[in-house]
Amino acid sequence: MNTIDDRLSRMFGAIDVPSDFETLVMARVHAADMQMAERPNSAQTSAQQSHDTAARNLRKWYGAALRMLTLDGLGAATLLVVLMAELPRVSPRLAGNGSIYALSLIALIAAIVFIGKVAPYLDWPVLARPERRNG
Amino acid sequence: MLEAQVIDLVRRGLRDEALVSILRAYKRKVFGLALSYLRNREAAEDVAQEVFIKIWRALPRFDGRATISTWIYTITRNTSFSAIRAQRPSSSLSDPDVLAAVEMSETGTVEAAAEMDGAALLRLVDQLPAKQRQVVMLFYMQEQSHEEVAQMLAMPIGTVKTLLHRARARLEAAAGRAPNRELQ
Repeated sequence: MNTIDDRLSRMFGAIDVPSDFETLVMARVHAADMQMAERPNSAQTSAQQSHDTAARNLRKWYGAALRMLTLDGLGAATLLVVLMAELPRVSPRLAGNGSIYALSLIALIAAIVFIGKVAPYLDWPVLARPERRNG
Repeated sequence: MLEAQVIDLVRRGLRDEALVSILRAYKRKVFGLALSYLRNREAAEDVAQEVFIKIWRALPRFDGRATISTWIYTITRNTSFSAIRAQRPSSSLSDPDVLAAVEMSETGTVEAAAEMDGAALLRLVDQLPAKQRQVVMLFYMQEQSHEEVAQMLAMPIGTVKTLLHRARARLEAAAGRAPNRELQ
């Protein structure tokens, strides 16, 4: 005949963790540790992706600018040359002002081309590649 | 002292070894405390594992100002409360896993009558008020130490003794009414 005390002792005294509990805990600890170590790497990957996207967008913009220069720009430049050649004959007064506008337009187009050419070599934040972490 | 050993191991960069020392001393206690809250073996195992992962992460900050047991039990209680909030409310000590563990605890040949006794007693414990049930479970799990149970549940020893006395009285009364007189 067992007392309730004995029964409870035997019942709850026998409850224990599984034999592989320590192994499972250590495995989860190491998995959690690796996950924590991978977090800076994923931040690095994310920064790299942002950089690539920005650089791609810039290249698209530069390509679009170049296309505009080769097609529309060529036509506009031809028209400008013709106008500049003909303007003194049509209106000598306007010719003086017109040459200033034309020079400004040419300078602007030249500036766009120049920036597009040298931008990849400049240390602008959008172009600077994130530093790679060792290890 | 485990505290000094753990601090020394962590200082020497041996955090895994420090955790193994803590695991060996506290795995059953942490599991028992989690089980007393969650009443589900699988969930308690999961919480116990989570507790040791938290301990491993927090080890570099452990400075020994609090005793290691107080620290571990606080983490266990908080993790258990979080798990309770997340889990469905229908858990019970009578869940099949706990019953299986109790049935396996029957010594010698597992006879049908003995299995029924264990299951019936477990159901009676399960019907006790929450605090009484926790005290009963932990008291009989932890070599019947009032001090240990008081520390685990963060309550005064006097309260533990009172709860245990009331729980025993209820169990004896319920067992007296039970059809299976083997409980007595």
